[in-house]
Amino acid sequence: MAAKKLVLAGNPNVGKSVFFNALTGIYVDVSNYPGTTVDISKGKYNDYEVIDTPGVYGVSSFNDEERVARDVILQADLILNVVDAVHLDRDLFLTQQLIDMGKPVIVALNMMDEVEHNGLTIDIPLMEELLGVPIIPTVAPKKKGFEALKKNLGQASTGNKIVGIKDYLAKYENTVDHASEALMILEEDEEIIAKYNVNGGTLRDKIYSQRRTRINNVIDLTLKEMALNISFKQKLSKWMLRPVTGVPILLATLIFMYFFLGDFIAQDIVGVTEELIMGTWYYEFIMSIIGPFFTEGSFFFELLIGESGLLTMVPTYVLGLLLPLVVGFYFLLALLEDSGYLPRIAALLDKTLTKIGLNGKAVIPMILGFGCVTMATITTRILGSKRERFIATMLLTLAIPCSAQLGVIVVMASSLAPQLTLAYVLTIIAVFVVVGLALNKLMPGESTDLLIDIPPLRLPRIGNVLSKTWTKSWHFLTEATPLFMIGAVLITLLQFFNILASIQNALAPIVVSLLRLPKEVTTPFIMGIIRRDFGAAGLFTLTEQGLLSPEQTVVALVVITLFVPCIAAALVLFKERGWKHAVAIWVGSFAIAFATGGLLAALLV
Amino acid sequence: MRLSEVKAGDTIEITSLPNPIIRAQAIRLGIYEGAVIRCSEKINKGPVILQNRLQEIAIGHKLASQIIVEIITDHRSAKNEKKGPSLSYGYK
Repeated sequence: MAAKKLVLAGNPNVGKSVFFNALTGIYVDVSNYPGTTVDISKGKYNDYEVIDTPGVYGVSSFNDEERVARDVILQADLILNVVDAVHLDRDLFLTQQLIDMGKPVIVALNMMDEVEHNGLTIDIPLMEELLGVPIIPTVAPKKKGFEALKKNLGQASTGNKIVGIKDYLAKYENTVDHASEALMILEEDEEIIAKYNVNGGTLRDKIYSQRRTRINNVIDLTLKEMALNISFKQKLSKWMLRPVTGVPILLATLIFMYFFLGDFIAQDIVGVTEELIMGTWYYEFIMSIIGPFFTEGSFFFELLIGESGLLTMVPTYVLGLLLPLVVGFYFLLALLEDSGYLPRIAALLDKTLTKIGLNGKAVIPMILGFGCVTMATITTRILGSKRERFIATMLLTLAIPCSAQLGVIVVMASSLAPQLTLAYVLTIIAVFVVVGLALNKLMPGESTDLLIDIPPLRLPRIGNVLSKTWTKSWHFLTEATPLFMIGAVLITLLQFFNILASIQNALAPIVVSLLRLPKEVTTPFIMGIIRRDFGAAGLFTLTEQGLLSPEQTVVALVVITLFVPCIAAALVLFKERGWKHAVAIWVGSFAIAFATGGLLAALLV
Repeated sequence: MRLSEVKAGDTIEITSLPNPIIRAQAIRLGIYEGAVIRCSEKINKGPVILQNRLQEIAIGHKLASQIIVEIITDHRSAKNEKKGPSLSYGYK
């Protein structure tokens, strides 16, 4: 007998993954869902095959996440629905929809600790009776309620559907393979309608409002609010949203991040990891082991332990220089995500972003872009139209440096005079604004509007923050290392066979005449195509050697920031945007990078 | 009147939402025709923030100007009352 499929479903950020991990342990299979960029985790718990789904507000096909969640839910034998107890108005809508689909459901009523803190009480037995499904109160980070949940999985039941829906469902009962698909047809889900080639329902509005009314009744009967004085969290939330206080809070946050990353990590930590650990201890160690086997200057000497060697430059850049910066950035990002501050920044900046053809939601890919453009380009999927996705991707690849690159830039900029640092920052901002405004004017069509849910502020949980940081940093290591190795081999080959010199000479009109830089800078530019941060790191080495004047450093930094996306980002770019848009973005960012660099060189150098 | 003209502190009833897709997405978040809800924050020419218990929803300016609402309690009278009106919709 095939294992029963236990599917986890819930709204975004309700703590679903904690339940998934608690059930399945460490042997989890993460695979890409065909035709999308959505990853699905699968694992085992006793006789169940446990499948996670992306967080959604409802089952339908408004976006990729919803389509994936829908397909997985339709296959489910039973559903563990994770509900945020302080968000019942939003979350129970999905619960009722799952019940209406006719699947056996068990509800984990999560975040029960916050219910008390916010002066709420929930009558759980009554709610169970009204919905007709078992409800287990839980506090996920403390694993509270998990034993009860596991014990009661078998009690999952089909629950009470909204009145009258059964008669409608009966109409399609014999048409569909899974009984639940009948509801999707009634709710005008185009893909399911097309699958069975039936006349679609016209009942979405009717069913949705009936479901809403029912849920409102359930909540009115089970939830009691005690009058509480406005808490500090609510005050802080208001301050974050109002421009007068919100802008200073945002600036303070950014300045804090800058000092944390640029000062503490990039100077103090990298000073130890890059110079001492990797640059001295590790370098001497590897030289003493490998050195005796090869004569200096021979091909294998250069390939392994030369200036761009696989065992010298690659680990020094990846582990010594970039990893601390990446870990630092993802740590801050996880804090921002978990605290609930991001959607507030989205609301605060919505008005401004509308001017460049985006809405407040675009803040999320933009901030992620400082981590890695590859991730951020995928996240542009949350934006409502092709137009917005194009504008956001263009601005991301062009004007947002990734964290590792940013770190190197910060280190280099900190040795420059303040007015030169300012020149760099202003140039990048100007390019961002001008390109955004121009695209908004030139691109046909209209952008969509902001409609987002703002969750309550929360104190980030350190365990959660650290585990997110670890996952993303590990991802960086596995993605970056092979590319750095390819890059190192390529550069060594070019150098050893003297091709690098000819490329440098061929590009001299651009690098030397237009940008007024020494021709050696061509090498970091080539490295930058392989990976952005690789290029920035190469540039760092050149300034350490004293090859660049401060003015030239600014020009080179501007070009390498605006410059083409690295190979990984370019691949995602082609996959996500199609070749026409991708080529436009690719060529566009090249042209803008060199034009801006040339202009700046004429002014400064 | 339009939702974009509402002031922070007003309690309103939503009377019309612009199109089926917006209607379907908004109703999941508790915004639907007939919902009585409070505007907790308003950024000038920017988003309107609607609040229902601990749930807040931000709606961009352009979309807000396509949503038709009726004022139930004005922000000035809400201030005069000590505790403000009960926010739990479902009872009007």
